Amino acid sequence: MDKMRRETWWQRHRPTTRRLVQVYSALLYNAHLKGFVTGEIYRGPAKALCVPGLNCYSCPGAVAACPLGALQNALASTGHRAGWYVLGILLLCGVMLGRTVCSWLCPLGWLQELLHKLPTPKLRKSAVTRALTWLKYIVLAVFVIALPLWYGLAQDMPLPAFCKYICPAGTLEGAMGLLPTHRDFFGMLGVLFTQKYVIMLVVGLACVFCYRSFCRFLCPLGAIYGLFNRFSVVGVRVDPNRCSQCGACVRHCEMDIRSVGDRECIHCGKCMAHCSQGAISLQAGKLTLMAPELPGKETAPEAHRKQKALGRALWGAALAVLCFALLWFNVLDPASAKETEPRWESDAPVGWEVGQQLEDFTADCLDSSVFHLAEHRGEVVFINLWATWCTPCVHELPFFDVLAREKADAAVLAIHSALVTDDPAAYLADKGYTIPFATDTEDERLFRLVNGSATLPQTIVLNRSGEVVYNQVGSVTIEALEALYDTAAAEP
Amino acid sequence: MAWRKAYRVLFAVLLTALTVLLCAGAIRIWQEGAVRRAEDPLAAVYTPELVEAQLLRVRPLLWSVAVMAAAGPLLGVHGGDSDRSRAEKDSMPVRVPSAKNIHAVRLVLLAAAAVFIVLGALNGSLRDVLLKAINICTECIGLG
Repeated sequence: MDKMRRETWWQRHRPTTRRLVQVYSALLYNAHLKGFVTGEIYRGPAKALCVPGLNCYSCPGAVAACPLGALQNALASTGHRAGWYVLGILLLCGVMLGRTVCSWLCPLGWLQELLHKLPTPKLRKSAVTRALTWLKYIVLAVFVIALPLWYGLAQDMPLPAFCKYICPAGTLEGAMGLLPTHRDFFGMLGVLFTQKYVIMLVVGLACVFCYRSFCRFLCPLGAIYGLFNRFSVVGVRVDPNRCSQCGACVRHCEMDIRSVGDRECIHCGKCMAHCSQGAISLQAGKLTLMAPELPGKETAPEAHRKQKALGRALWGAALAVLCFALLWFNVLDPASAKETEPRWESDAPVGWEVGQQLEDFTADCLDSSVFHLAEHRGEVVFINLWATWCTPCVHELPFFDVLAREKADAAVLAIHSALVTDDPAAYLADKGYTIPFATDTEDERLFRLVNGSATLPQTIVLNRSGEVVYNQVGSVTIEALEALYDTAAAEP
Repeated sequence: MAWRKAYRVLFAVLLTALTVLLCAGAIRIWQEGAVRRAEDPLAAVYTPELVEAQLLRVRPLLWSVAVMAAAGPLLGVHGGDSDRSRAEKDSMPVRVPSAKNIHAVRLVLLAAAAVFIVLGALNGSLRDVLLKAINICTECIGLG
């Protein structure tokens, strides 16, 4: 009690080293801060790198890729190309860090811990929570591996099932991050959004009552890293010569561990404070990163000073990296500077908004024909922006084909994004579509004409006079296309 | 102390009620929107106005939860203790992992990771990651 009184407010409330590292990594992963204001995601080369933690790459602030999203897309593309890169990254992070990522480097882990600090009664760990930890392996097997593989191989349709149906990070950072600056996105919200929004709220509530509920029971990335926990270079280690097998570490741990360092251990190091023998330390190989100080076994003053100096130097370097990242991703990076210029104002006249006349253009189609917009005056024209790597795009392509077959006075052109992963011609070879397909030019000339962006799919409808009657990002149904046709055909 | 326990329980009830109302609000918007969309396929299910109206309805609860969340730590009410398992039988003796062969396994896995990353850079899967990350798949983030 006396000790409590002597401590200042700051000494009692100052953040731990782990908390600082969590904040630091969340900031570093999302260093593109201006994206939250402009609503534009970062599109520079740094996004080829995967961060170790769960951080949605559609978040306006994200400057790197999410390993789990990348893994699902790699598995979905297995029929075309093996995803060696993502497997290598996951293996590297797993062997180097294991589940240290979960407790130190995952923004979602940090958020879960903050939610758990809210003043409510808490659910203790038990045999039930222990059994529920296996759920994340089922999620991993079904939503991250089986469904993307099945849809990719059997149906040639990329489906990142965990991202689409479950991931609360995607809903929170991606959807919620983009909606405030893209009010036009509201038009595409429906059952999928409702489902993911409810999942996000339920997961958030669960985290308030039960420590790291998502991390313990659902997170497939934690499940993957858990497999490497025994081999990871960085992690909490127990000195067998000091351990008295009292089990205090396991009893006090909030995760469902059976022993320190097992698949559920996130190497947070909280158990160090409960070990009366000082047997537990956080180590990187043979280097001790954190260790408890036992009475009578304090570090020598000289070594203590050296440790502190090293710590300060490391934090200084880390802060310098963060400052540089903030400066680079918000100001200096050419990719970041480019997005501040309106994509469509530079070389295309205003003409893509509803009520305006679309500028005439020609497009070289994959079947060697040429689509000339002016030649389709008097017809209702549907322009669909798509890509082979976009699930809703490939899902809705048949609708456009059906429409073109059914409506004699409807012209359809499907324009593939300039970003090509799989050869569109090869992809379309066995699909039997009759509509013309074109691929956008390197400078994205066709996309710019209709205000196309990195957000796909997009549908543009012109009436018989060539005026835009609809220009909207998001999936469409056959019923919506027919209604659009009726609207456009009724206009002069 | 009893009042702290009561504070926690009250906060838990309010927070749960808020979550249930937010979920119910979203489901209601979707249900009503689905009916509109059945009549007009181009009708929007969600609109900023509908969302704002739903948020307005739960505003008193939202403020109560926010104030209680902020006031709790100031009044010395923190989250209940959850860092002990319910029963002693849940805890198991500490198993000290064997260091035998761990170094060899690490080296093999690290070498494999390096090979995979180089292979990925060569076969184009690195570029695939970039292309997916710089484009927004609206369905993948739950927008639709």
